[in-house]
Amino acid sequence: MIQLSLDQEDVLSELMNIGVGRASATLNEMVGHHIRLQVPCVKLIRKENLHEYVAYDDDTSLSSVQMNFRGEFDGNAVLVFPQEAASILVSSLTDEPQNPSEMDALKSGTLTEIGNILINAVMGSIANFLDVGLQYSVPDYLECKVDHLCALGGQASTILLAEASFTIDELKVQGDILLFFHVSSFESLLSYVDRELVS
Amino acid sequence: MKRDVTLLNALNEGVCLLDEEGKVVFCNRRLEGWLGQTTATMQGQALATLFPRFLKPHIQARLEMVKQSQAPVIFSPQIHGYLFPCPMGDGDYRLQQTTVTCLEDGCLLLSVQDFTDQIRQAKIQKASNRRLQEELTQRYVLEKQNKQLIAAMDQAAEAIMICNERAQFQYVNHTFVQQTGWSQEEALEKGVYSQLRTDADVGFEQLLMETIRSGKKWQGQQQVQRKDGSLFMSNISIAPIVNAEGNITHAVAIQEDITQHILLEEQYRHTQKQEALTTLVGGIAHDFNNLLSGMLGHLYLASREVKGLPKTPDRLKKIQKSAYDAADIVKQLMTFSRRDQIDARNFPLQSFLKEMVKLIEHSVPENIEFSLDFEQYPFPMHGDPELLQQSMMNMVQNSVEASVSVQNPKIHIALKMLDVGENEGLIVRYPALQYGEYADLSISDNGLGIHPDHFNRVFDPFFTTKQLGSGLGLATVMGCMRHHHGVIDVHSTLGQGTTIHMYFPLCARTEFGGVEAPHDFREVRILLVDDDPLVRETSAELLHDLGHEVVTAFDGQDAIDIFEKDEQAFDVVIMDMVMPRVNGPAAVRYIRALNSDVPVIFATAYDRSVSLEDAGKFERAMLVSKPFNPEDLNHLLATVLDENWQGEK
Repeated sequence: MIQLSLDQEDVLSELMNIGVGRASATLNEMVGHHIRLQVPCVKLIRKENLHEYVAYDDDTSLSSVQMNFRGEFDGNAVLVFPQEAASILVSSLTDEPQNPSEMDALKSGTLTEIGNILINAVMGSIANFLDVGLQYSVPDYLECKVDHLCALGGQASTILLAEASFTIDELKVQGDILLFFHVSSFESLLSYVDRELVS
Repeated sequence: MKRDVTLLNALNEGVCLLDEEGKVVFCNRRLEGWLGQTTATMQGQALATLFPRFLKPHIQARLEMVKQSQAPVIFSPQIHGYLFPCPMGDGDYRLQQTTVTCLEDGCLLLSVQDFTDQIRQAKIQKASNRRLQEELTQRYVLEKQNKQLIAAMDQAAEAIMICNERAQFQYVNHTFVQQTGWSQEEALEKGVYSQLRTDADVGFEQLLMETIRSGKKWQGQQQVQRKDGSLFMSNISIAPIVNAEGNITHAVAIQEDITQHILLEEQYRHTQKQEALTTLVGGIAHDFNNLLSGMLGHLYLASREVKGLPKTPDRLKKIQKSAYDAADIVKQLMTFSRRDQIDARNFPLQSFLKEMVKLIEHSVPENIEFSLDFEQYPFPMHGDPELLQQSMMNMVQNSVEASVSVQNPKIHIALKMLDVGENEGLIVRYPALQYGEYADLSISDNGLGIHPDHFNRVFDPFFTTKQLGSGLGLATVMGCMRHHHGVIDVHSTLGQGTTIHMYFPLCARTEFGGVEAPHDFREVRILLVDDDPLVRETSAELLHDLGHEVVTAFDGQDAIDIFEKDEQAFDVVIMDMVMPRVNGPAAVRYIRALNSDVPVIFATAYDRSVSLEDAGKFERAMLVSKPFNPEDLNHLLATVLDENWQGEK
């Protein structure tokens, strides 16, 4: 298992925070609410240990938005919320009456756009800093349980896990950003990070 | 290129291709259809010019980002509304999600996914679900109400039956089961009321059907037969049930068992009759009592005066005996009507009965099995033991006479505490029994029993079924119960025997006392006051004959006048209670102001309990009933002249 050095961890955390900062600015402008998006810490974990690091029960229904990326490094970026939290988040952003038990086509479309904005911002921040080009798939909305989250990463074995905290006015909604990488891709990512650190 | 266009036109999504400058290059047929425009009209024009919503800065910024990062962006309908204005004809625009992707040559591909039908369908589904939910909620509320109604009907104190238009049972409640003994299943299976009767009387069904036909309510009394064949009287009301269309479909019958009600009514009527009888008997007894006073006094005097007539003293004695017998009858009538005095005191009922039984046993023939069962408890009681003894003797005598001719005759006397919990029916009949403690004294025999026709008359004075009976035995018992504020309850089955329960209220006091023996007697000066000349003259002669000095006054005012002349002239005042001008108590108040020590004997021919209240207000005063017994007079005088005597309360 690759270990992150403190510098590497700092860089990745900073890149994540720059990304979510841009995403929150975009969302603020779009929906007219004061939105604060934070990523308190970044962890590097093995895919099989994901259960230990996320706070979802096995039965919790999850709403996720995922985008594949490939290029200098390959992987999969996923934004995931418990379905109830996702519904509350969408309702708050759109001023719709809350119905936590329901995620209809409109709501899932909205969550997909939020995920799209966040993943684009985070991945854009990383790609810009490391000066690499990446190609992305169109974002997908999926509902699943925690067991199926790992399957979203495909062959990837390493996950860069960041807790995403949305604060909308008085409301606070917690979710997770998961960046799945193949080992070789992650080594490639780190080499780019090291290169930038040296320069 | 032609092939690509064909493919794009075949897509279910709308597609719009922009060149590097953001000008429209191509729109597929789907999007053309939604927009109501052709590619030809849009081609070469800037997207933001054609569709101004794309001019918004944050949209422009994200479109720019697509070009820079190559990462696709999504514009969702909930956040942005429509970007391509695709009218639907009803004033609304299609709900669409636009995904923007950057192609390798820097052109932008906008794919438009239409959610309109999906959302509409979802809305219809939602509305349908909401209606279903409302229906379910309404049904739940109705079911709950229904359950409450059924529970209320089932737990109602009256039997409730719902019948259809053919008078067939559709529902009977739990009380119906309790009242009739038929189970709900049996009643519904039998179907109609007449099938629950052995005589198959169809009257009730006709009544039900008539009610349904006429739409009017009916109320009345009907005899109902239980499953075991027994009958009970019920109060029934029938009302039609009208449905939402105003048609009568069913009838509801409410059936109340009024057996207890009838019994109470009967008991009330009996009590009323007894009260009337008591008043009548009391009045007659009072008048006879005064007449007998005079008669006995003169007889006493005459018997002392006759000399030289050898047969006359004997005849006078016989007349005197008859007069005393008559006085005894009057006394019993007074007891019945509560107009006589009773010597009430505290005594232990159980010990008293044990002693009394020794006397009673002698009057029970040997062939009758006589048994006792007394609970171990003192049963402290306030009452007149002599009156109680007389009542017990009367009842035992009745039992003896009723059972002496049957095989294996038995008489049983029992004494126990009344357990209210075990006697709910009794409490319903006599509610007073639930307050305080009561002794349950009962006499049972296995004799002839009381004929049902006689049952309500056994306590009437002079009612008797015996050839030589006075008809005053049970009347005295009834008087005794009234004096003691008790309750008497008779159970009798013809040919099987009778049990009489007497319930006496018990007191907490356990001190038992009596009147001390009188002191020695001496000659006294008496002021005798009575408005009845017969009583006054007879009593005066009597007292004079006993060796006393007697001055008479004809009413209270006369007595005051006499006393004023010499307030120390009299040792004792014998004062009638009720007199014209100034009554007894008023006269005594005046006399006592002149001489506070003079003892007073109040004499009354009325209810002693009424007079006691007045007499009790005076120190050194006592109350006696008329007529006076000559033998008792000296005893009374000796008592009141005792210096330590303070009077009776």
